[in-house]
Amino acid sequence: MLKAALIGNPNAGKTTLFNALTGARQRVANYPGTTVERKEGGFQALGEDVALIDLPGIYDLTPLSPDEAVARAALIKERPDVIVQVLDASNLARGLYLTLELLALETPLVLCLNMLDVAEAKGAHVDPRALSKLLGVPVAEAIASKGVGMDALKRTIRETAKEGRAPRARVAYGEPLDFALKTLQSTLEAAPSLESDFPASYLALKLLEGDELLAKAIQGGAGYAPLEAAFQAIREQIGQNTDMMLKQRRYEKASQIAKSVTLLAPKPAQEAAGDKLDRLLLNPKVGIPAFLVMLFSVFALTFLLGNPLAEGIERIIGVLGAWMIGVLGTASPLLASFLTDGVLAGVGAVLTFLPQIAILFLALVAMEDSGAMARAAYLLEGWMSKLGLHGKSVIPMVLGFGCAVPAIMATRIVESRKERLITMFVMPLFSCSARFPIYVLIVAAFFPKPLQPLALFGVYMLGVLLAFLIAVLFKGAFDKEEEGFFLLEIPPYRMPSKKTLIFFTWQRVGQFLKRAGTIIFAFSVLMWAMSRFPSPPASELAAVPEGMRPAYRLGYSFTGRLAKGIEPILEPIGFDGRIGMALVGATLAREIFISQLGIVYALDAPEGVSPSLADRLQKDYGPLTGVCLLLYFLIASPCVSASIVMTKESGSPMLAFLQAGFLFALGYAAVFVAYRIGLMLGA
Amino acid sequence: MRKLTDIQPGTSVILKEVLGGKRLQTRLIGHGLLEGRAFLVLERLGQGGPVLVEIEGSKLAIGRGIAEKILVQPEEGLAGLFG
Ligand SMILES: Nc1nc2c(ncn2[C@@H]2O[C@H](COP(=O)(O)OP(=O)(O)O)[C@@H](O)[C@H]2O)c(=O)[nH]1
Ligand SMILES: [Mg+2]
Repeated sequence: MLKAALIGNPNAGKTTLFNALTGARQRVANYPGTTVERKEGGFQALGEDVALIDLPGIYDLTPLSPDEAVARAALIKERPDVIVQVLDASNLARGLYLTLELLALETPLVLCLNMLDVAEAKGAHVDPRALSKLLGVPVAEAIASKGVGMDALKRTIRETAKEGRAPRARVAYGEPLDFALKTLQSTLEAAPSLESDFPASYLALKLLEGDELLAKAIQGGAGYAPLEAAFQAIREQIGQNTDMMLKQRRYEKASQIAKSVTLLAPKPAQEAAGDKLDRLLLNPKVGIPAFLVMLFSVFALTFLLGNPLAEGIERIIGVLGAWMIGVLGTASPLLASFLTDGVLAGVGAVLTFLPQIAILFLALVAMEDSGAMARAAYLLEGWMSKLGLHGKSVIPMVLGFGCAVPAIMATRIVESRKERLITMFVMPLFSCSARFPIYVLIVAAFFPKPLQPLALFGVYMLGVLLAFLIAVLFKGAFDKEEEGFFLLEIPPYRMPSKKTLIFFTWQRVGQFLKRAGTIIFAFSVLMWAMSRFPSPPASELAAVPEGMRPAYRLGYSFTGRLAKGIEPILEPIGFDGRIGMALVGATLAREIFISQLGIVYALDAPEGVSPSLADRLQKDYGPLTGVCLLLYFLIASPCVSASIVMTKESGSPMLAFLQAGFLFALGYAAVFVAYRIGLMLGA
Repeated sequence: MRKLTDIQPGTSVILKEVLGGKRLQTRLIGHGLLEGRAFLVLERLGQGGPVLVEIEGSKLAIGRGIAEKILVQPEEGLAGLFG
C-alpha cells in the first residue's frame, strides 16, 4: 500500500481535502489550528490503495508548538511515499516557503493548489503549469470544499508515489550560502552514520539553519568532529547569521515564484465586503459587544425556538407513556412501570432537550466556520495576556462550550507550556453541552420567563469570569519560562455552507443521542430498579393513606434509603436527599442528573400523571435551591473524561487530580456561601 | 526607525529590524515579515492588545510583546493614504 501525507499551512484546507479524498468526516473549521493530531484514512486510485494522513498545519519544518511537532515528526519518522502539500492559492508565497523546504527532503512531492475560488474572487489567477515547470513537481488544482478536482488529484498522488522520483529542483541561496551548504553536505556524505534519518542535503540545510533538535540528535556520533570543523570554518567566513539569511532568501524566492506564476487582475476600486465588516468588527468597542451579543442571541434562541419544540417532545413522551400504561397497566404493572417510570422518564427527560442542544451545536459550528473565532482571539488577546493566558486560548475556551475533551486537546495550538496548562486548568469552568440541558431545566423552573435567556447567559459568563480569576491567582504557581508569543492569522470570512452546518451539527447531535441510548439508558434502568425495590410489604403499605403510597414506596427503596443517608452532607448547602442522589448519578454523566429526577418524580407521581419536570421542581423547591444547583454544576461537578484527557495532555495526573479537587472544593464553598446568604435574605 | 507599536493605523511601513530571538524571527519570516518588506498597519488595540497588519493580502494579528520588538519605517508618501 502506498502512503501519502497531507501537509500545508494552517487553514489551507487540508482537512477539507482529506475528507473529500477519503470520505472521512473530520472536523474542519475556519481558524488556524483546527487539526491538532494526526488522522488516518485512505482512498483508491486506479485500483491501488493509498493510505493518507491528515496533519496539523505548519509554516515551516521548525516546530514551535506541540501540534506543529506532530506534523514534522510524521514527515520525518514515517517517511511517506509521497508528500501532498496543500497550497492556498490566494496566499501562495506563504505556502511556497514551505514547499521550498519540503523539496530538500528528497521525498516525492505533489502540490495541490486549493482555494482556487477564493483566489479567483480576489482577482488572482495562478498558472499551475508554470508552477509545475518551475519546481519540477506535479501540480493539481482543487476546490476542496466543493469536491472539485479530486479525481485528478488522486491519480497524480498515486502516480507520483509509484514513480518514487524525488523532486530535483533546489533553491539557489546564492554565494556564499550555497558553498557552505555544499561543504556541509559533502562532509555529511563522508560520514554516513550521521545521516541515518535524513538525506544529507536536508541535514546540511537544517544544520546551517541552526535547527537545535537535529543538531542534538547527531551530536557526538562518529564522524561528528569533521562536521564540527567544517561548521567552524563557515562561521568564521560568513558569520553567525547563516540561519536567518537562509530563511530570508527562501522566503524571497517563494515570493518571487508566487509572483511569477500569478496573474493579478487590477484591484477593484471597491473595498471587499469582508474588509468593510472587519473595519467595524475588529475595533474592540464594536467587536467585543458584538461577540457578547452573538453569544447571548444563541441562548435567547435556544429558549425562543427550542422550548416550544421541547414541549412538543414532552407531549409525545406523555402520550406514549399513557398509551403504554393503557396497554400494559393491568396485565403487567411492573413492565409498565419499567417502561414508563424507568425508560421514558429517564431517557425521555434527557431527550426532551434535543431541540435546545441542536440549536447550541448549530450555533457553535457556524461560529467556528465563519471566521469569528480567530477574530475573538485577536480582540481578547490584550486581556488574556494580562491574565496569564494566551490570546489563542480563546479558541479552546469557546470550544469548551461544546465539550471539554476536544477543547483540552485544542490547547495544543498555544505555544507556551505555562499558558497551555493554565488554559487546561480552567477549562471545566466553560460549561459544556452536557451541562446545558441542566441549566435550561433549572432556569426554566425557577426564573420568570422574560429573564430566562439572561439567566442562562449569566451562568456562562460567571463561569468565564471565575476562570479568569483563577487564571490570575494561579499564574505564579506554574513554572516560569519563555513567554509564548501571539501571532495569529485572521482568515477571511466564509459563509458556512449548508452542507457543513447540517453535517457537523448532526454529527454532534448523533453523539448526544448515542449517549442517551447507551450510558443514560443503562443508568436509567439501574436507577429505576433501585428506586422501585425493595417494595414495602403489602400489610405495611395498606396502613398508608392512598395518596401517600407512592412516596412511601420510594422512601422504602434503596434510593430512598441512600438519599436519607447522604442528607447530612448536603444539608449545609441546602440540598435534600433526592437532589443529592441525582448529583451522585451526575458524576458518571451529567445528564443523569435529569434522568434521575425524572425517574424519581415519575415513581412519586400518582399513576398516569406526569407534569413536566420543571413544574415539579418549581413546586418542591425555591429559587434559592435553583441558584445553588446552577452554581454546583457550573463549578463543582466533575467529569471523568475531561480528567483523563487532562492527564494525557498535561502529562501530569497530579494536575488533573488537583483540578478536580480544587474545583469541587470551590464549588461546594460557593454553594454553601450562596445558600447561607440566601437564607439570611429570607429567600 | 520606530517600534511597530508606535505606528498609527492606516500607515504603510517597511520592516527594518526584528530585535527578538531566532525563534521569533523564524516565525515572522514564515508569515512573510522579512527585513525590507512593506506592509500595512490596520489597527492597534489598547490595553496591551495586539497590532493588526495586512501583508500580501492577508491579515495577521501580532501580540504586543512581539510588536514592540519590530522596528519599522513609515513608507514615504504613502502615510495617511489608507487612513
Ligand atoms: N472557498 C473555499 N473554502 C475552502 C476550500 N477548502 C477549504 N475551505 C474552507 O477553509 C476552511 C479551513 O479548512 P480546513 O480543512 O479546516 O483547513 P486545514 O486547517 O488546512 O485543515 C474551512 O472553513 C473550509 O470550509 C476551498 O477550496 N474553497
Ligand atoms: Mg485541519
